[in-house]
Amino acid sequence: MVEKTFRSRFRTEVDGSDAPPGADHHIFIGPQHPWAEEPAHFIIHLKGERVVEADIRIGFNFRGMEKAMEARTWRQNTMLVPRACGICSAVHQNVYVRVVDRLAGVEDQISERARLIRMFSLEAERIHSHMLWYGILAHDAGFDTMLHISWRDREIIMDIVEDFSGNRVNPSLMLPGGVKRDISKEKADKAKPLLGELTKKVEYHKKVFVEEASIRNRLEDVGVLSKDDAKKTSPNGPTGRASGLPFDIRKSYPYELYDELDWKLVYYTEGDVLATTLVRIDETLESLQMCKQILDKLETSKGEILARVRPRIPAGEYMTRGEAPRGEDIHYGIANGTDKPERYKIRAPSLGNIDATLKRMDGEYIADMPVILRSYDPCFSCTNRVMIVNDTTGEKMIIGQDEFAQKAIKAKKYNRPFF
Amino acid sequence: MKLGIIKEVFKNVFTKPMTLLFPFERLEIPERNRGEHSFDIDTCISCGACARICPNLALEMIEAPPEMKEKYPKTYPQIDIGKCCFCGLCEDTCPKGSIKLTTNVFLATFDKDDTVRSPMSWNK
Repeated sequence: MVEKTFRSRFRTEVDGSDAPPGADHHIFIGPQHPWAEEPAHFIIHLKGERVVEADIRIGFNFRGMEKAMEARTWRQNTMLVPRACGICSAVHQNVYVRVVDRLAGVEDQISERARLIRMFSLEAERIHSHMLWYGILAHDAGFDTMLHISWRDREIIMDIVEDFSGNRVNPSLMLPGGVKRDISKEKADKAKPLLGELTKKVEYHKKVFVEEASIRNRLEDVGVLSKDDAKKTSPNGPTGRASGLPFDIRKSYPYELYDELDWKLVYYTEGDVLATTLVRIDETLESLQMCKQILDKLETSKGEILARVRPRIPAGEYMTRGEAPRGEDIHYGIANGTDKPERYKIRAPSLGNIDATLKRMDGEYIADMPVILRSYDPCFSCTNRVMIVNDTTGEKMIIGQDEFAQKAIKAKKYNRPFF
Repeated sequence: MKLGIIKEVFKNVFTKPMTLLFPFERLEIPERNRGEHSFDIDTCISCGACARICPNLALEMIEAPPEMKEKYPKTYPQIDIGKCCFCGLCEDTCPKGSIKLTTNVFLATFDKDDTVRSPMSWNK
């Protein structure tokens, strides 16, 4: 029984020969589908109108970013890493610069002010990512009014980020050794009332999700992931926190200055899609008050915003992680004494949540699929680092990451095609 | 809260639209925006730091054309805007502040060759 329940769902046959017994229909969603903005292939096995089991295939958006990083210097990679994800660019950059800070040995030279600015960028990103997400969720649930309301109000935080950094979704504020740009007092004073205004609006959004019957009935008791199932499938981030796993890297293993701020961990125990929504809305409110605290602290904090980091990073390796809006973001870097990384590995948060989401679908109606699939905030542009490669000759080929790297090195060395 | 969301809808009917009629009215772009580069050739010391740090190899150090060779004997950066990712590393690394990113974001061209700016023709 155990084997059947937890077989690997990343692998499925094209002809449906490994479909679960009892399924009479198979619905294929993606990689190109009006529901999804990003390419993922879901195979949903149905009996009548109920889902028996669901499978996924990813890897349609693989960009070879880790390989590209090996050809660039550490400093240049600071601008490549945020491109891993369209929405959570600052958190990727933050985790990357923390890896470089540790490897270069400048971790203790980073001033309080630089750390506060980094944290502001991270929290602002969490706010706009969550607001974007629950707008799309409402859109998937057929509640387009909420989509327009939440995206309209999201412009407030986008304007603040643009004012501070110069770009809406790709602030690129961080550099190894500190931050690029300072937040002056005038800019902070301009942003504070806007944050207060946004707090009121997000509170209103929460009221809509909790009290409006049309959206609440659509989300409540849909796709329940119990705490036991959550422990087995180990989701991270808001997906786990909605199922009663109170785990947040910011609280459990504080980085930057998260232990000095006053904030509380949000978690729900219901495990349905409504709980994942409320976790994110509450986190948005929590992040908003954290942003206000950071701006208050910035008034008194002093220090150089950028410490000097030599281009050559001494040999060593380090792994660290951060709390992205979607979950846990893990980076692992190996330095070899030159100015370029020997190897760099990114584990993006959506990958850890896929198994839990597939578990969520078991026994649900096919009509609830869009909201359940949306529930873990899929982001495949950053997830597709796992390589399941189909050969062009029709022969199926599944290779691991090390093998891929070896093949790539050989292909370059002997100047021959990859396969 | 039976009428909650409906109230919001009616409120929006009587407010001004969020969108602007673009060519006639436009949003103010913040001064920190990373847009088109400006380059001051007279302060450039031809160190080549910008070309070395550019992640996309959009900057290239080239020599001045023969008629201007006397005034500008060294090599100067030429940029391909089509390759640029507007990260701003060249601006940060320039020791003399010759390169700056401006707020001009209207960079679309009809011809692909127009994206290349020679050091003489960069706007100042």
